[in-house]
Amino acid sequence: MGQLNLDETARQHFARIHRAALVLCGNPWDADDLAQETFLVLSRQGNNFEGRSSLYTWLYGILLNLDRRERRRFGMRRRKLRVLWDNQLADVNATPGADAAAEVAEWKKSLWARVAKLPDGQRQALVLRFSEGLRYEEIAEVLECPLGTVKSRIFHGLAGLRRILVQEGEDARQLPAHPGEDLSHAV
Amino acid sequence: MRFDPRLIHPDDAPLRADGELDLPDDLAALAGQLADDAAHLSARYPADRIPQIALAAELVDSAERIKRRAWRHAALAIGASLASVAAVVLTVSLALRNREPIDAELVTSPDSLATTVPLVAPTTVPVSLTAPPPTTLSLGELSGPEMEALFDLLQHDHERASSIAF
Repeated sequence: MGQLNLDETARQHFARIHRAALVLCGNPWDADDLAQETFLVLSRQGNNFEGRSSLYTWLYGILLNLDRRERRRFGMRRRKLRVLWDNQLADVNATPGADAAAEVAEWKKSLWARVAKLPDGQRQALVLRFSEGLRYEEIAEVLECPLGTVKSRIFHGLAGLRRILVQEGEDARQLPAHPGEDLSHAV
Repeated sequence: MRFDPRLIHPDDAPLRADGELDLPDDLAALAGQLADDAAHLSARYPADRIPQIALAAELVDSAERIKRRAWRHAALAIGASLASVAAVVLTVSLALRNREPIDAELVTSPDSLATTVPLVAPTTVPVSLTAPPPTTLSLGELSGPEMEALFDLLQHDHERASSIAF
């Protein structure tokens, strides 16, 4: 492929990459950073793009790699903090975010917050299929795996998501409605 | 008994005849919900603006160039200092190597000691050669303490030949 017009490419594809980044990382600020970094990688490695696939599938590949790297870093930070404070922090695999922000709260209410708890392969396949609407063949191209694997990951990802929701439902039933409330007067 | 291998793929997803995933109703509902949630989130928080990637890339490149240059300078400085330390070490070791054989011979071989003594002799031997000529003092002119001091000097200065005549 010849010289890439970066600004033109960004105009064409930034919105979709940003949307995928948003469901992956759970807040608009990190999504901005992740999407911009994706295009910066494109600016450095654009010459490696041989045009055998669509440019946007290539961009999704970069995005998913950056996201995986970021999650790994975040996981390491969490583990270090845990060692420092010897304190059980909840769910290392959960996606980071500024917990107090309304934007994050909205994402946390969505199913995508549960998807974040799935293994990488299933999570990425679900994002590409149901957020980005890619065909199975395109997902296979992005994830560099056979078509059957893509379908399997999507199926098992959805099944895993159902299990998480069932588990959350059971946990919610086991919790008291208001843990700190004194109900002695009502008896 | 005949061996009858069968390949089992427990992870295979159920597929329809057209190759599409055959999702049960609850999973299909989850899939629909995922798509709705994604559409809702992206509508609520769209990308504010399209960044000027070319400019940003140029800035990042120049920052990296500066960083690379700084690293190169640091590497050069470290290399130069290492080279100067190595030069000093080499010089010192060469100087020591030049001195070592003389010392070794002095210690190990009495014959060589005889040959090397003349080398150092000029610094030590001339003390007696250049010694001042003998002086004669009349003890009668000296007071008691002066005489005592003279005797002390004669006692401590063994190298000079001294005599007392009456």
